[in-house]
Amino acid sequence: MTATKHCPGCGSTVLGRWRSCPLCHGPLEGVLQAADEPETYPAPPLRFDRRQLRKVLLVFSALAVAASFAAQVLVPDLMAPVRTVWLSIATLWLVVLAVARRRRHFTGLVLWLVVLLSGAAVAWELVTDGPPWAVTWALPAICTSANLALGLAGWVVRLDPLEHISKGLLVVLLGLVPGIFVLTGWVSVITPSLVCVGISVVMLAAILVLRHRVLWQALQRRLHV
Amino acid sequence: MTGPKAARDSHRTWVRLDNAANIFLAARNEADTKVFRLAADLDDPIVPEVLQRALDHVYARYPLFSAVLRHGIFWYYLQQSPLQPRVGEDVQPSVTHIYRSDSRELLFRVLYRGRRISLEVFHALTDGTGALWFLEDLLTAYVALRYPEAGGDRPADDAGAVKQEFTVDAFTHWFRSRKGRVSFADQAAAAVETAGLPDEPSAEATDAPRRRPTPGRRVVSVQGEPTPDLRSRVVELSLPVGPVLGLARAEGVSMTVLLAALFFASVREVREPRRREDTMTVSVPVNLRQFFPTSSGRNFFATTRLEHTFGGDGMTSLGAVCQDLAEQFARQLTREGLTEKMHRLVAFERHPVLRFFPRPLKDRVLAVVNWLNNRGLTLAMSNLGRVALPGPTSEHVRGLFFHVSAARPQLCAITYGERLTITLTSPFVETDYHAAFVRHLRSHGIPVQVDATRVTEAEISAGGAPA
Repeated sequence: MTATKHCPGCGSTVLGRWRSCPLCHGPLEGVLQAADEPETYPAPPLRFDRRQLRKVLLVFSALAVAASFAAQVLVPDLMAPVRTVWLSIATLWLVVLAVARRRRHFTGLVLWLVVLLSGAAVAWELVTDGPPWAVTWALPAICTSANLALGLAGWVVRLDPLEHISKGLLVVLLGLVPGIFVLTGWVSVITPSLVCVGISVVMLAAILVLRHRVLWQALQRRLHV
Repeated sequence: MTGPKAARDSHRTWVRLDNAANIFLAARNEADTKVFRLAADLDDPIVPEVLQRALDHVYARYPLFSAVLRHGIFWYYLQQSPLQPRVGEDVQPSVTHIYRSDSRELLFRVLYRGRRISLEVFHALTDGTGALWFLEDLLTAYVALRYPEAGGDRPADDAGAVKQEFTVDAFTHWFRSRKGRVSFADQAAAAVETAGLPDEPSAEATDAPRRRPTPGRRVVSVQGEPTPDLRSRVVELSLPVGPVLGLARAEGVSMTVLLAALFFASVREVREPRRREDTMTVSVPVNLRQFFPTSSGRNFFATTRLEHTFGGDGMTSLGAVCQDLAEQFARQLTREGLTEKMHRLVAFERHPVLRFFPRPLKDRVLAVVNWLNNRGLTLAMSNLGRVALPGPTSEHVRGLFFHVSAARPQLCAITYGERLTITLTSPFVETDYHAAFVRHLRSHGIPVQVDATRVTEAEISAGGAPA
């Protein structure tokens, strides 16, 4: 049976192991509840301060971005293809991490990854004013890596296609964008863009042929008004 | 367990979120999780394995509860899932988040701690009545399994009956859109609902217009120091229902109105009004099922809003406040008035232009409106009324409890047997008006038993200290 105490201040009977009244904070009279009997509500330790953590992460990210721009300025003769390989590997790893950590929601994350990395590459080029790299090398490499990683991840971890196909489609469509760069003559080397577009076309065809019903169902939900 | 094919088929079932539920997605935040809890105290410590078996049985009959929440470009939708719920020990702060936008989890949880079984539900899934149906069946199944000698029906006896269909939306059934306008404030009001109205004054149809907030009024808003990690302060008051009903009858009002008036008096007693604030407001949700019958377990309530201005002589007594609130309540509680209001709400939701607003934009707008609405609200309250459990079950259930997460003071009430449980929740550390509320009840000779959550570092540390 739960022990109770009386609060002379507010006149209530208090349950639990309170030493003073939880309402008026006055002293209690009566028998204290035994320590081995749980209180009705658990009292887990305070969680960490989420707002503080966000602040730290934001500062850390800003510093990392600033450092990467500084490195580009300090080492201006980094070869474009070398940087591209590095970027492709980094993209692949990021997608793998996304799959590992947020398996059920990772297509959205990959989409953001492609957009943000592409934006960063363009910004990098604008700031350093170096030879054209972002449009010729970086964007096609990011899109190609993301498409490959997405296809492999979807296959290896057996994702439910209905859950991921609409956002996956957006990633695939982004892979067609370097084709526009080729047509407008913005690239100095066309091979990376052609590879990217080629892979995207193959994946798009695979979706339309093999998964057109699932795609239609997913789009019906997503676009329902 | 569901077979692979059945799981795939059920995976295809989806419905757009009902009218009332959309606001909960927009209005939830770190402190106000839009989760509510129904709980029951039993005779003996809960046996998790038995509870799991009871849950498996009941879950199969409530397809609605297998829903997960997804979002499209324009709206949220509920999608049936093949997930199986697991009971868990109650070790976290009460009414913590259930839905996160990056998680595809069930929208409810069943917890146990000591003698208590708790059902926590994200409000977008169902309302208090829908959750109560689920809890009643869960308790019945648990008692039948745990106490077979009690003579209750074995759960397997009616295993085939489906109680809450997934796709039934009572709003759509009853209130297909007609032209009309509705205020965002009506749409944005958040609470659970007031179910039974047997002791309400008769709600006769009247031509009197609904009282609109007085322009320039100063509404009392209860503020305080937020809890350190934004967990809810829950204060549970348990008292005999007889004296409270007697007090309500003496004033000629319902218990819901009496409790609102007592709360107003408590706040006035301990809080100095800022900037000459003299008006207090309360939102009271109404269970629409009593006017528009439906077996749907999805959200189906409307929100009424009452106010009282403490100006001049003769307006401050408990009786005067009760009469003022009761008069407004009765005016709003008519089938005709509610029909008109709900038609406007549905028309608003189905507005051809608004439908094409992207969901994130709708969410932002509704969140701002909800914030503005909260500023004009002193208290939100919800009374689930008197609950009766089947005979064999009631012999082993000692009490029922009910509370919700809160962005402002929230009062929830539920009556079971001869006990009334009033639970006050708030996002603040302070308990001054809680104490005043208890003193008011004690001044009328009503004994009150208090249970409370620990929210500060000092309280948590003291809770672990040996006796």
